This record gives sequence, structure tokens and C-alpha cells, in this order.
Amino acid sequence: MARGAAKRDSPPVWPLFVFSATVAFLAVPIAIGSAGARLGALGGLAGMVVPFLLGVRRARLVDHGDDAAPPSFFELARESTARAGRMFVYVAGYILLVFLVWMAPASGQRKDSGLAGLVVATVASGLIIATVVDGARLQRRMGGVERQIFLQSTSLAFFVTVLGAVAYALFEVFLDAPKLSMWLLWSWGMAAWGIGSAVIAKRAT
Amino acid sequence: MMHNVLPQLRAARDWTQADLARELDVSRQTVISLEKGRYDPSLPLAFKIADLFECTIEDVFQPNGVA
Repeated sequence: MARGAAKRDSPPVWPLFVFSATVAFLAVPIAIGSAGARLGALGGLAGMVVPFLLGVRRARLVDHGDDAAPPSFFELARESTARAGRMFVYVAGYILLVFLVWMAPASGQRKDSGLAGLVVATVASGLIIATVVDGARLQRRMGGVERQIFLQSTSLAFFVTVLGAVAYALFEVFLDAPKLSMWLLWSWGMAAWGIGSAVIAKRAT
Repeated sequence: MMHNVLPQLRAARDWTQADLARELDVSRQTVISLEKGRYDPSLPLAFKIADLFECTIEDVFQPNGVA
């Protein structure tokens, strides 16, 4: 009976597939993208891979620290990604969106965005709003140390992104440093959130 | 952060961290953080812990520096 219960409780495998597909997808801009696209993709990759590795480490040391026979890497990866659940879907969606923006013609070369552009922009912004609402719901349902980690990492990512942007703006103004795309800034903000969550979670346990 | 005697209370009942997590309806990570003194519980969780071990909150948690 215990075996059956354990089977029922085993974590879903789909977050691991979403994670793997997104990491593989990021290889495209890294391989053939411009310098900016490559930098943004590397930020996205770091924001996914670092929390993943720390999550696997946590699953091995915290969740299975007392086990006589530790589970395989695949099982640990499955547990680690299942914990983040649909957050991977949101991150994958964001990366797809950035890819679409990267593929879109520059504003000067666009002949007629028309209805297709309106539909893409409306659907994408609707999905972003839905993600934010769902994230807020998720945060309300959280308890214990997970809530503390979520709130600390969110505020850390906010301040790192804002202060980094202000600092870089000074270099732009006084040293004519190249202007950065806002998409790059948002991507690094998300990477800061992912890495911050993993590091704060590691410190908390 | 506060000092607590959760590991001793848990050991007295021969519970694992997973057992305690299940009883409190929190994650095992929360129990580990509590026991290591790296996370101070919310007031509802502190009451739940005291209720579970049939003692007062002060019996479980003491400010650092208080014996």
C-alpha cells in the first residue's frame, strides 16, 4: 500500500521536459544570434540552469539525505523541476516571447504589422498579466520558509535589476556606453530572480 | 533568529523530519530551516507547533541568549 501511495505521489515529469526543451531552445540564439541576443540567452540559461542544479543538490542532500540508496540523477531532476512546477512554463513562455521579438523585423523595416501584430501583442500581454495574477495567487498559498524565500528573492531581483540599470545608465550618459535593449534588462532581471531564489533557498537550509 | 528545542521534541516522539512536516502541513525544507534556526515561524505556525507538542510557544522557542 505504501508503495502504491508513493507511486501516486511521484512528481510529474512534464516540468523536466519543459525545462529541457527550453534549455535546448536557448542554444539557438547562443549559436546564431547577435551579441545582444547571445547575452540575453546566456542570462536566461543561467537563470534556469543554476536554480536547476541547486534544486537537484537540495533534493539529494535535504530530501534524500537520510536515504540508504539515493535516487538517480533523473529522479532528482524530476523532483527538483516538479517543485518549481509551472514556473518553468512561464519562463519558457517568456523566452519564446523574447525569441519572437528577436525574429521580428526592426521597427524601421516593418512594412505593415497590421492585424497579426495586434493579435500577437494582445495575446502576449494577456498571458503576461495572467502569469502575474497566478504568481500572486501562488505566493498567497505558500507557507513556511518557501514564502520567505519567494519574497526575499523577488525583492532582491527587483533591487539588483533597478540598481544595475541605473548604474549602467550612468555609463551610457557619461561614457557613451552602448544602449542596451529593455528586453536584455528584463531577461537579466528574471535571471537574477532565478539565481536569487536558488541561493536564498540554499542559505535557508 | 530564535533558539528552539524542536529537534529534541521531535526525537522524544521518535519522529523523522518528514513526519513532523506532515503533521504541521509544511514542507520538509521548512522543518529543516526551523530546526537549524534559520527561519522563524509565523505566529500561526508557532501555535500549531506548540499545540502539536502540547506545550506553550515559550517552551519551544526562546530568544537567542535566553537559556
